[in-house]
Amino acid sequence: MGDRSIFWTYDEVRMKGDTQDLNKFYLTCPWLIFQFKIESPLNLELRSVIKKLESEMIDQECFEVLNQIFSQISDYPVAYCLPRKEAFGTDTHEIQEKKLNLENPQKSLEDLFPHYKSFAQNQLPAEWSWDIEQTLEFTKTKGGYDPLSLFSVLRRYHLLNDLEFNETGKLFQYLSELSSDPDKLKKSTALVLRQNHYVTVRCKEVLSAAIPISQSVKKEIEEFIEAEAGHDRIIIKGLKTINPNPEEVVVLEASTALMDLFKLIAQKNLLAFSAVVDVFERTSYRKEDPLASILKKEGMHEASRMVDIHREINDKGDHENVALKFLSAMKPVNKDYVIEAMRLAELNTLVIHQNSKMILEAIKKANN
Amino acid sequence: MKKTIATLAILASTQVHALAPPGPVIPKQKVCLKSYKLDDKSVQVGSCDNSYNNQSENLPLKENGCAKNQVALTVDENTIQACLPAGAVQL
Repeated sequence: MGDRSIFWTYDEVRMKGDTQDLNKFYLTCPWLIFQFKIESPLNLELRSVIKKLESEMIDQECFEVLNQIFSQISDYPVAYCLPRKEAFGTDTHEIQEKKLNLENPQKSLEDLFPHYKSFAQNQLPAEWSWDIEQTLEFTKTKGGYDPLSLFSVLRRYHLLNDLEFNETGKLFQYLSELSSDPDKLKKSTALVLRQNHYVTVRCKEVLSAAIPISQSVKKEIEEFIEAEAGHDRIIIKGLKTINPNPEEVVVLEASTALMDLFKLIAQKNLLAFSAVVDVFERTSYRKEDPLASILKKEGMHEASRMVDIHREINDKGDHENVALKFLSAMKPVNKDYVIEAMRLAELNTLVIHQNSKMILEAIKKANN
Repeated sequence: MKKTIATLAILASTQVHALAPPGPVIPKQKVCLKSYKLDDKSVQVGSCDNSYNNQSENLPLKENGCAKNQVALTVDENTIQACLPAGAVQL
């Protein structure tokens, strides 16, 4: 076991064995469903472990079997990393001198960026919702808290927030309902693409802000920045086919706030930075980008092609777990560092969810 | 809605190191080493394992699983080489 993580199922994940085929299993959780096959004797062992978990029993077999299963599907966000036991990492990460105001989401954003005061007060909740105490309990190891284990918790918390607040589905639904009015549809999709473009334009500047705190993983971050370079040119090409003057399309406050916050996180806390990169790099697990589908259906083929090229490049880059590399050299971290990482990651999640919500509001307002 | 971690996962996190670590468990192995009494009455132990020879020569085994004038040693991993068969000569 040593310095390697042991996987353990996320609380929401349910596994079920097929009643006919002993080798076939179904894994379901609110953000993902898939089926897989495993051979004997692991198939029978997994069936036994599923029963044990259902009756809330844990023994050595559970650790061995679940770890074998989840190691094979570690690209998917379905498992925690349990804290490692032996000493690991070479880099010490601590909070920087100036402690951030992390009282609540509104106060934090307001304090970090006074010009987003009204955005913070109108759009963000007044209280944090990610449980720090249980996270500390779950991730503790010799000499502090395990960053990989923390990362797996932050990934799950983000996905839970996604279920609650993400309005991207509603946004795409609304766009597809605009097909009877091509002019409105063009203006609306241009607004969506402009936000994507803004994010990609600022990508290099924001990611580079993490280099001074990167220590041993500088090379990994530089390689990632390199892989992300030029994506804005793909998006702008698509956007120009809808609107020849893309700079006239407004960039919403939620988009600027998101990238300003991401940059600050990059400067301050490598664990939170890795969690945010993970959010940006998570795929939709679809063969076609949902926005590309709408554009294609409505005859905006070139824009659709560009959006899908961008998705394809991201998927081919195999960046599903790129953020884990940024944590590969991190030693156990202290409580203050964990709290800062958790609050910053939650704040980023709250702001990112405002993005689709505010785009939808802006589109509806413009169309009424 | 508050996001927290289920009790079962917390239990897994605290128990993962308390239970035996996952991975193959190497069974303990016993080796039989010849013992010699030297002139000064001290005992010297051989450096090769006689277990296979004991079996092939059908030697009667003592309670410790080894033949007469042999001591039994239990090891985690057998890195002790087997003795040459009786009568074999190493040139």
